[in-house]
Amino acid sequence: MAKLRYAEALNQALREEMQRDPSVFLFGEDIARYGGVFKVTRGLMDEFGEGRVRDTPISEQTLAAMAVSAAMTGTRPVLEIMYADFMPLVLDALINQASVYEYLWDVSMPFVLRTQGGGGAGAGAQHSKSLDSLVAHIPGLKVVAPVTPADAKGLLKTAIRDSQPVIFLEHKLLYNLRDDVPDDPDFTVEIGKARTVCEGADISIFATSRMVLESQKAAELLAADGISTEVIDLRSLRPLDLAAIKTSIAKTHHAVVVNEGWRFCGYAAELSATIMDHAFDDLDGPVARVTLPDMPVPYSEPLEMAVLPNAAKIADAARATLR
Amino acid sequence: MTDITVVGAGGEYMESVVVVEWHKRLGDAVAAGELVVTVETAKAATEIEAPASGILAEVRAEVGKEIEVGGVLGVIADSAAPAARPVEDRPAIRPSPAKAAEVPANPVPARSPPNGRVLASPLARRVAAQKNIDLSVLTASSVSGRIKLRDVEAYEKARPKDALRPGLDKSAALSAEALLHVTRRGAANGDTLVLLHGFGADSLSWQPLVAALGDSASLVLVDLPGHGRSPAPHGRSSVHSLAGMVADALRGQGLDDVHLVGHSLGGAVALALAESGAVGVRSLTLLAPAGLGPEIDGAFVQGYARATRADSLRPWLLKLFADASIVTPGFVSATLQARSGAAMRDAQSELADAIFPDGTQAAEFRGVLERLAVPRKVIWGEQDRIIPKRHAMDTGAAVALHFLPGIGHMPHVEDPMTVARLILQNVRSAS
Amino acid sequence: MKNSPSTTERIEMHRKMVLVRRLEERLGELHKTGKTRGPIHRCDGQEAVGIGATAMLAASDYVTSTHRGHAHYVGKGLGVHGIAAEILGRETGYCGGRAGHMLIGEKASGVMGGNAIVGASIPAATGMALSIQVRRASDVAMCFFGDGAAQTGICHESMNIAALWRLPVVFVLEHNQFGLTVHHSVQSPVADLSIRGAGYAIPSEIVDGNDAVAVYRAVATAVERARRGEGPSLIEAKTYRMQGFSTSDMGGYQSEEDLAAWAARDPIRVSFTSLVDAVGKERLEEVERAAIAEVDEAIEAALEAPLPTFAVYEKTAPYAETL
Repeated sequence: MAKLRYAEALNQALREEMQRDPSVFLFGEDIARYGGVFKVTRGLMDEFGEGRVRDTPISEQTLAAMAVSAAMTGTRPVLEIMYADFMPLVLDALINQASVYEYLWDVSMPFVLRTQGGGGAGAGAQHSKSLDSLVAHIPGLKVVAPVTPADAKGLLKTAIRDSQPVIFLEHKLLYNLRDDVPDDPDFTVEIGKARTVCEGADISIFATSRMVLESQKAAELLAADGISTEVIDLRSLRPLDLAAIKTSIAKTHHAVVVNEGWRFCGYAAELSATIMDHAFDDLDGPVARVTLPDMPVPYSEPLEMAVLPNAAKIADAARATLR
Repeated sequence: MTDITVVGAGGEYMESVVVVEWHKRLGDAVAAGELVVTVETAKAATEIEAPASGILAEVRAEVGKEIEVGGVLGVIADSAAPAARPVEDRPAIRPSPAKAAEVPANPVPARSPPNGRVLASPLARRVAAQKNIDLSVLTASSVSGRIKLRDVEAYEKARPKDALRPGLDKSAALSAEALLHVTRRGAANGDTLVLLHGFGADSLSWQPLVAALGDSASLVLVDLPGHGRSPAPHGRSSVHSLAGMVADALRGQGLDDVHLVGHSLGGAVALALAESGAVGVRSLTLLAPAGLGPEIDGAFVQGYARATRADSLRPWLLKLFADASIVTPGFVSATLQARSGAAMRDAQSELADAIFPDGTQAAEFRGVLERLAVPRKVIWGEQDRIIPKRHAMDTGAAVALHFLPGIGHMPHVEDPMTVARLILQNVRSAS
Repeated sequence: MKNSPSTTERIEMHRKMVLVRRLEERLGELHKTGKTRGPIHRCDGQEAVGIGATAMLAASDYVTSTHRGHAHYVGKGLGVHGIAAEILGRETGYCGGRAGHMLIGEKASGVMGGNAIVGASIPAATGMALSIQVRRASDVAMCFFGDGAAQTGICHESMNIAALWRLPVVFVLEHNQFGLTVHHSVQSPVADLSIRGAGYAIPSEIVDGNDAVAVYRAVATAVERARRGEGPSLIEAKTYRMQGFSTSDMGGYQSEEDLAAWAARDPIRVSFTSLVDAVGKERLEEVERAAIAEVDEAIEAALEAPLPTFAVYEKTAPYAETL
């Protein structure tokens, strides 16, 4: 066990998997010589060579399509897309190509598309989005969003070993998070399993990515009011751990969903519908959503902070649905 | 229900007030505008008028108590409404000073939208149905006006457990500690069916139906007071007192949330039991039940109760069935043997006199049947000569009626397979 | 001549062109009698490009195709029975009726595959070439695309990367003069698109797309280059689309003179003329008859084959637990 930064944990996962399987290779903008703008791929070109760690031109649309077809033909590419805000460029590759070939041609495409998103760094409207719902909507893809360094490592290893495409969503404000990470090169985290951060009896908070940390803070605020909160880190946006959701709501009967996407047609809306489909009779109040408002992420600090979900907003939503 | 609150009583910058004097006592009638309580702030004493007319149902702040501005001093109930106690605050949620009405302490009566539907959460709705609690008697503690689980639980807790509960009375009772005789049959687990036999019969009369049901449910056969192996009651019986004794017997077995099946008098007892809510009832299947109209063949009731010999029993047995071939000499003598002696015949005769005075059904449960929320079936033989089958009609749109051709007053004996199938359908639809 | 087809290969190419032509004509008839479903994109008049370009490929080489790919499918080795059944939506089709005529693919024969997104074949082949390079194999990936697709962004991105990394990909530009209903002159300021190869340091060549042998020669050279690790090539095959953009084309935008001129240079006639002296008219006609019979039989069989039954595709289910 070692205390690693989230970015270091990812680096370790990539290194271990590339050592383990020669068909794994990395490509993306600025990942090789520079080691990646968030330093996730630092040192890997030196260790594995330019053939397996490649700097690319700025061509997201083609790079994503290449990841799909390279994965169909005997390799396991890990493509880095620098900002989740560039996901619209890769959507044809994901929706019209990756999503259909397993069904039509019975071929597998074991690629990982890593990206990072999220606001709070003053990066402006085109560099601060999550867009997780865009990819979670697509059949044929798996979508994960680890929060802890240990989960980052474990999930990335699992993603690389998975025979289906995995969209790996990192968060720019999580890269420097430091925590315990197991050393074992076979340590993996299962895709499709949520993580219970803390148990509670009165209300369940389901959150994705950095919002899990805000939800933990919200749980502390609620505890001061005598409200016992259960926080669940979904980790796996698709496939979703339905059992964990049902079990939690059977216990608490109230739910808040926290997601850094836009409210309308966002990921929180799907959670709410899923809860209605599968736990309706256990609900004692409507499912609350805490999300970005339906607008661009502004730049100036007070403006940006006003749109992002935070512990206070989450706690307010919890109290309102308990009322 | 209207709260007496302190808003504005203390002036703008006051945070709390102290109660100085109540001018009305609990239960007193109050007219809107009438002085009801005086409170004091640092600045001055303030008199508070009743915001509505009604009855002072609750005093929340006694004399000398300090209460914050916005808090509730007491509650005025409508004169007509029962004195339902408001929900106690969940200890977990305290109103925080900064946000005044975060969790309002004043309960809101169930908000009824124009189409008459009560707003309740899915969970509250489900639990209330299981406990046969009518949502419209509940009070919503939530600002949303929506009834939540805590409102159902609070109502249940506050409900008086004995006497004033509709459906049960103690006009007749067994001796202390005695309980009705109960036989268990069928599966060890799963849905629980409580079978209540008719007048003059006993749990053994369920045998063909028990065989037909096999392992599909757990069966609880109760001998009514003065029948089978149950002791006779003391006092003048009524359907409600019979139901009370059945409730005690079921609770004695640790049973709650059961499916009721009642035949003839047992059907009326089942209705009284369901109405009372003494045990949770999940479905109700009535076989030629009493309790849906005044008519009953009184001569049969008394004649059957008093018969001491095969010759005097046989004609009444023939009247029970459409198919005369059921009433073999063996059947007659077995029935006679089960009616063990003079004590039982006297007890049953007395019961008949109390419940069916002058050959008339004294108790009526038509409204109860219509209002129950659980799945209900009524099964009647077309050729019933004891209680007219037309009693099944006009019980509302949600009660399923099944008329069995060529069958008399004992459908569970004459066609146990059909009756078993219908019962199980009813049970399954309750899940 | 180096990289020239043998007579046997030329007879085989002739046979396959007749096979494709007969398939297109039969599909046209079936469409008119309402027996087909959805638009079908016929390649009458362009057969020499697809058949000529694939004739020298091995089973382990890859081909990516377009929405007008019947000649590519047959050229790379897919059987007409499976193609016809797929186009007619039968269970016995190459994709069990799930794909339809534009999306046929089969991993075993290296056809991956038809693509209804214009230009998608280009990055797909580029990605397959990347996979070949990472694995250090000597296979080749070949994409077919039209003059319309040459304008897509992904075409330019792919050529740039392919040349930059010297990927073993052959770009076959099937210039049939039209993008849907619009003539090429209204889509690009240059008549010869191969000029763009120079912009990416990609060697390029223009060939007569109606002469299967000419196509074969040019492409074989490119394939050899790629196998040697010398990178991509661009072959612009000039041809003409004789039957409209699809079976729903109302026509009226192709001039009678052009059609007549190109009909005179029908690839099957060109092939026949060039072979008849060496092989003999009877033998050639026998080959043609057999090909026609094979197609007719395939259509018969397809029309009698069962339709597939529906099943939800569980591999893309959104929940981790099956309920």
